[in-house]
Amino acid sequence: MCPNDLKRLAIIFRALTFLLLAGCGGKEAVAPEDVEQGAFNDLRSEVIDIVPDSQRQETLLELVDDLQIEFAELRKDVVVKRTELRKLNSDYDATREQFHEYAERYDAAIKQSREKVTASRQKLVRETTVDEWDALKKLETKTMKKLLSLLQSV
Amino acid sequence: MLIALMTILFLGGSSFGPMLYIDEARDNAKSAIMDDDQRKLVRDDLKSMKKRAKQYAKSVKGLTKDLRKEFGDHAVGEADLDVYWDQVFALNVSFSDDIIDMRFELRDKVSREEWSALFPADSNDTQ
Repeated sequence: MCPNDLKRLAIIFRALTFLLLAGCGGKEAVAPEDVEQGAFNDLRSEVIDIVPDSQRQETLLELVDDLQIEFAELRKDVVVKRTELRKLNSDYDATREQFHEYAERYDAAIKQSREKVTASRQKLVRETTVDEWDALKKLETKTMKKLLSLLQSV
Repeated sequence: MLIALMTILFLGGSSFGPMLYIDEARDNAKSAIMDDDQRKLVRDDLKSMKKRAKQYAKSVKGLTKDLRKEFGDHAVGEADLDVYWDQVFALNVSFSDDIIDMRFELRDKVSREEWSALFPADSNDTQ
Protein backbone atom coordinates (compact mmCIF):
# COMPACT_ATOMS: atom_id res chain seq x y z
CA MET A 1 0.00 0.00 0.00
CA CYS A 2 1.52 3.36 -1.04
CA PRO A 3 1.43 6.53 1.13
CA ASN A 4 -1.27 8.04 -1.08
CA ASP A 5 -3.53 5.04 -0.45
CA LEU A 6 -3.04 5.46 3.30
CA LYS A 7 -3.90 9.15 3.07
CA ARG A 8 -7.00 8.33 1.03
CA LEU A 9 -8.04 5.71 3.59
CA ALA A 10 -7.67 8.23 6.40
CA ILE A 11 -9.84 10.71 4.51
CA ILE A 12 -12.44 8.04 3.67
CA PHE A 13 -12.56 7.01 7.33
CA ARG A 14 -13.15 10.61 8.37
CA ALA A 15 -15.83 10.96 5.69
CA LEU A 16 -17.58 7.78 6.86
CA THR A 17 -17.54 9.01 10.44
CA PHE A 18 -19.04 12.28 9.22
CA LEU A 19 -21.77 10.44 7.29
CA LEU A 20 -22.59 8.18 10.25
CA LEU A 21 -22.83 11.13 12.61
CA ALA A 22 -24.94 13.07 10.12
CA GLY A 23 -27.22 10.06 9.64
CA CYS A 24 -27.80 9.69 13.37
CA GLY A 25 -29.21 13.20 13.58
CA GLY A 26 -31.81 12.83 10.82
CA LYS A 27 -31.86 14.25 7.33
CA GLU A 28 -31.87 17.93 8.32
CA ALA A 29 -29.57 17.69 11.31
CA VAL A 30 -26.20 18.09 9.56
CA ALA A 31 -24.27 20.67 11.55
CA PRO A 32 -22.33 23.40 9.71
CA GLU A 33 -19.11 21.93 11.15
CA ASP A 34 -19.91 18.58 9.52
CA VAL A 35 -20.65 20.20 6.16
CA GLU A 36 -17.29 21.94 6.42
CA GLN A 37 -15.47 18.73 7.30
CA GLY A 38 -17.04 16.83 4.40
CA ALA A 39 -16.23 19.54 1.87
CA PHE A 40 -12.63 19.96 2.96
CA ASN A 41 -12.14 16.19 2.99
CA ASP A 42 -13.28 16.18 -0.65
CA LEU A 43 -10.72 18.86 -1.38
CA ARG A 44 -7.94 16.87 0.33
CA SER A 45 -8.82 13.77 -1.72
CA GLU A 46 -8.64 15.81 -4.91
CA VAL A 47 -5.26 17.26 -3.96
CA ILE A 48 -3.93 13.74 -3.42
CA ASP A 49 -5.31 12.61 -6.79
CA ILE A 50 -4.14 15.64 -8.76
CA VAL A 51 -0.69 16.33 -7.30
CA PRO A 52 1.57 13.24 -7.49
CA ASP A 53 4.67 14.71 -5.86
CA SER A 54 4.54 13.83 -2.16
CA GLN A 55 6.44 16.88 -0.91
CA ARG A 56 4.25 19.38 -2.76
CA GLN A 57 1.20 17.33 -1.84
CA GLU A 58 2.06 17.67 1.85
CA THR A 59 2.43 21.45 1.53
CA LEU A 60 -0.89 21.70 -0.32
CA LEU A 61 -2.69 19.62 2.32
CA GLU A 62 -1.36 21.98 4.98
CA LEU A 63 -2.78 24.88 2.96
CA VAL A 64 -6.16 23.14 2.82
CA ASP A 65 -5.99 22.85 6.62
CA ASP A 66 -5.33 26.60 6.81
CA LEU A 67 -8.26 27.36 4.51
CA GLN A 68 -10.54 25.19 6.63
CA ILE A 69 -9.54 27.03 9.80
CA GLU A 70 -10.03 30.38 8.06
CA PHE A 71 -13.45 29.33 6.79
CA ALA A 72 -14.62 28.14 10.24
CA GLU A 73 -13.45 31.37 11.87
CA LEU A 74 -15.14 33.49 9.25
CA ARG A 75 -18.47 31.67 9.59
CA LYS A 76 -18.48 32.14 13.36
CA ASP A 77 -17.37 35.77 13.02
CA VAL A 78 -20.19 36.62 10.59
CA VAL A 79 -22.81 35.28 13.04
CA VAL A 80 -21.28 37.22 15.96
CA LYS A 81 -21.14 40.45 13.92
CA ARG A 82 -24.71 40.08 12.73
CA THR A 83 -25.95 39.64 16.31
CA GLU A 84 -23.90 42.64 17.38
CA LEU A 85 -25.35 44.76 14.59
CA ARG A 86 -28.92 43.83 15.46
CA LYS A 87 -28.32 44.85 19.07
CA LEU A 88 -26.69 48.13 18.06
CA ASN A 89 -29.39 49.00 15.54
CA SER A 90 -32.18 48.27 18.00
CA ASP A 91 -30.68 50.80 20.43
CA TYR A 92 -32.55 54.07 19.86
CA ASP A 93 -29.71 55.99 21.55
CA ALA A 94 -26.85 54.40 19.58
CA THR A 95 -24.59 57.08 18.08
CA ARG A 96 -23.18 57.50 14.58
CA GLU A 97 -19.73 56.95 16.05
CA GLN A 98 -20.77 53.52 17.30
CA PHE A 99 -21.94 52.54 13.81
CA HIS A 100 -18.80 53.86 12.16
CA GLU A 101 -16.67 52.01 14.69
CA TYR A 102 -18.61 48.81 13.87
CA ALA A 103 -18.11 49.35 10.11
CA GLU A 104 -14.39 49.99 10.59
CA ARG A 105 -13.98 46.77 12.58
CA TYR A 106 -15.90 44.93 9.84
CA ASP A 107 -13.53 46.26 7.18
CA ALA A 108 -10.48 45.47 9.32
CA ALA A 109 -11.67 41.85 9.61
CA ILE A 110 -12.11 41.64 5.83
CA LYS A 111 -8.63 43.05 5.35
CA GLN A 112 -7.15 40.43 7.65
CA SER A 113 -9.03 37.66 5.84
CA ARG A 114 -7.94 39.04 2.47
CA GLU A 115 -4.28 38.99 3.48
CA LYS A 116 -4.45 35.38 4.68
CA VAL A 117 -6.35 34.17 1.61
CA THR A 118 -4.07 35.99 -0.82
CA ALA A 119 -1.04 34.42 0.87
CA SER A 120 -2.64 30.96 0.72
CA ARG A 121 -3.51 31.42 -2.94
CA GLN A 122 0.02 32.50 -3.80
CA LYS A 123 1.40 29.40 -2.06
CA LEU A 124 -1.11 27.18 -3.89
CA VAL A 125 -0.02 28.70 -7.21
CA ARG A 126 3.66 28.24 -6.38
CA GLU A 127 3.18 24.59 -5.42
CA THR A 128 1.16 23.59 -8.49
CA THR A 129 1.78 23.40 -12.21
CA VAL A 130 -0.63 25.16 -14.55
CA ASP A 131 -2.33 21.82 -15.34
CA GLU A 132 -2.66 20.87 -11.67
CA TRP A 133 -4.02 24.32 -10.84
CA ASP A 134 -6.59 24.03 -13.63
CA ALA A 135 -7.64 20.60 -12.37
CA LEU A 136 -8.05 21.89 -8.79
CA LYS A 137 -9.93 24.90 -10.10
CA LYS A 138 -12.52 22.67 -11.76
CA LEU A 139 -13.15 20.69 -8.60
CA GLU A 140 -16.86 20.74 -7.90
CA THR A 141 -18.55 18.40 -5.47
CA LYS A 142 -21.92 18.42 -3.77
CA THR A 143 -20.32 18.97 -0.37
CA MET A 144 -18.30 21.91 -1.68
CA LYS A 145 -21.50 23.48 -3.03
CA LYS A 146 -23.14 23.01 0.37
CA LEU A 147 -20.13 24.61 2.00
CA LEU A 148 -20.43 27.76 -0.10
CA SER A 149 -24.19 27.93 0.45
CA LEU A 150 -23.51 27.72 4.16
CA LEU A 151 -21.50 30.91 4.23
CA GLN A 152 -23.55 32.78 1.66
CA SER A 153 -26.69 32.16 3.71
CA VAL A 154 -25.20 33.62 6.90
CA MET B 1 -15.18 25.57 -6.44
CA LEU B 2 -11.81 26.13 -4.78
CA ILE B 3 -11.72 29.52 -6.46
CA ALA B 4 -15.25 30.34 -5.26
CA LEU B 5 -14.22 29.39 -1.74
CA MET B 6 -11.17 31.66 -1.82
CA THR B 7 -13.20 34.49 -3.32
CA ILE B 8 -15.70 34.33 -0.47
CA LEU B 9 -12.90 34.27 2.08
CA PHE B 10 -11.20 37.17 0.32
CA LEU B 11 -14.38 39.24 0.48
CA GLY B 12 -14.91 38.36 4.15
CA GLY B 13 -17.99 36.20 3.77
CA SER B 14 -21.39 37.35 2.71
CA SER B 15 -22.16 40.98 1.87
CA PHE B 16 -21.68 43.81 4.39
CA GLY B 17 -23.91 43.43 7.43
CA PRO B 18 -25.93 46.62 7.78
CA MET B 19 -28.94 45.58 5.74
CA LEU B 20 -30.69 46.65 8.93
CA TYR B 21 -33.34 43.99 8.69
CA ILE B 22 -35.30 46.08 6.25
CA ASP B 23 -37.92 43.53 5.24
CA GLU B 24 -38.56 42.65 8.87
CA ALA B 25 -39.04 46.32 9.75
CA ARG B 26 -41.43 46.80 6.82
CA ASP B 27 -43.56 43.97 8.22
CA ASN B 28 -43.33 45.34 11.76
CA ALA B 29 -44.44 48.80 10.59
CA LYS B 30 -48.04 47.57 10.37
CA SER B 31 -48.27 47.16 14.12
CA ALA B 32 -45.52 49.57 15.22
CA ILE B 33 -46.80 52.79 13.61
CA MET B 34 -50.46 53.64 14.18
CA ASP B 35 -50.61 56.86 12.18
CA ASP B 36 -51.13 56.15 8.45
CA ASP B 37 -49.17 59.17 7.18
CA GLN B 38 -46.26 58.53 9.50
CA ARG B 39 -46.23 54.85 8.55
CA LYS B 40 -46.06 55.79 4.88
CA LEU B 41 -43.04 58.01 5.57
CA VAL B 42 -41.34 55.19 7.45
CA ARG B 43 -42.06 52.70 4.68
CA ASP B 44 -40.73 55.10 2.06
CA ASP B 45 -37.48 55.38 4.01
CA LEU B 46 -37.24 51.60 4.33
CA LYS B 47 -37.87 51.29 0.61
CA SER B 48 -34.98 53.67 -0.11
CA MET B 49 -32.73 51.68 2.21
CA LYS B 50 -33.64 48.48 0.44
CA LYS B 51 -32.92 50.07 -2.93
CA ARG B 52 -29.48 51.18 -1.74
CA ALA B 53 -28.77 47.73 -0.27
CA LYS B 54 -29.73 46.08 -3.56
CA GLN B 55 -27.48 48.47 -5.49
CA TYR B 56 -24.59 47.56 -3.19
CA ALA B 57 -25.31 43.83 -3.51
CA LYS B 58 -25.32 44.14 -7.31
CA SER B 59 -21.92 45.87 -7.26
CA VAL B 60 -20.47 43.20 -4.97
CA LYS B 61 -21.84 40.47 -7.25
CA GLY B 62 -20.13 42.03 -10.29
CA LEU B 63 -16.89 42.41 -8.40
CA THR B 64 -17.07 38.81 -7.19
CA LYS B 65 -17.47 37.57 -10.75
CA ASP B 66 -14.37 39.49 -11.90
CA LEU B 67 -12.40 38.44 -8.85
CA ARG B 68 -13.15 34.74 -9.39
CA LYS B 69 -11.74 35.04 -12.89
CA GLU B 70 -8.54 36.62 -11.57
CA PHE B 71 -8.20 34.11 -8.75
CA GLY B 72 -8.46 31.27 -11.24
CA ASP B 73 -5.63 32.55 -13.43
CA HIS B 74 -2.37 30.82 -12.47
CA ALA B 75 -0.35 33.82 -13.68
CA VAL B 76 -2.12 36.49 -11.63
CA GLY B 77 -0.05 37.92 -8.77
CA GLU B 78 -0.70 39.65 -5.47
CA ALA B 79 -0.52 43.17 -6.93
CA ASP B 80 -3.28 42.35 -9.43
CA LEU B 81 -5.53 41.22 -6.58
CA ASP B 82 -4.87 44.43 -4.63
CA VAL B 83 -6.85 46.31 -7.28
CA TYR B 84 -9.92 44.32 -6.24
CA TRP B 85 -9.26 44.90 -2.58
CA ASP B 86 -9.34 48.67 -3.18
CA GLN B 87 -12.68 48.30 -4.94
CA VAL B 88 -14.13 46.17 -2.13
CA PHE B 89 -13.02 48.72 0.43
CA ALA B 90 -14.47 51.65 -1.54
CA LEU B 91 -17.80 49.85 -1.98
CA ASN B 92 -18.07 49.05 1.72
CA VAL B 93 -17.20 52.57 2.87
CA SER B 94 -19.68 54.16 0.47
CA PHE B 95 -22.45 51.75 1.43
CA SER B 96 -21.90 51.94 5.18
CA ASP B 97 -21.83 55.77 5.08
CA ASP B 98 -25.08 55.91 3.12
CA ILE B 99 -26.95 53.28 5.12
CA ILE B 100 -25.91 54.82 8.46
CA ASP B 101 -27.19 58.24 7.29
CA MET B 102 -30.46 56.65 6.19
CA ARG B 103 -30.79 54.79 9.48
CA PHE B 104 -30.56 58.06 11.43
CA GLU B 105 -33.00 59.84 9.09
CA LEU B 106 -35.49 57.06 9.78
CA ARG B 107 -34.89 57.11 13.52
CA ASP B 108 -35.69 60.82 13.66
CA LYS B 109 -39.17 60.09 12.30
CA VAL B 110 -40.25 57.71 15.09
CA SER B 111 -40.48 57.56 18.87
CA ARG B 112 -38.34 55.33 21.08
CA GLU B 113 -41.26 52.87 21.49
CA GLU B 114 -41.97 52.76 17.77
CA TRP B 115 -38.28 52.12 17.05
CA SER B 116 -38.22 49.18 19.47
CA ALA B 117 -41.28 47.71 17.75
CA LEU B 118 -39.73 48.20 14.30
CA PHE B 119 -36.33 46.75 15.21
CA PRO B 120 -36.63 44.32 18.13
CA ALA B 121 -33.32 43.32 19.72
CA ASP B 122 -34.34 39.79 20.58
CA SER B 123 -35.16 38.24 17.19
CA ASN B 124 -33.47 34.94 16.49
CA ASP B 125 -30.50 35.56 14.20
CA THR B 126 -28.48 32.44 14.63
CA GLN B 127 -27.60 30.44 11.55
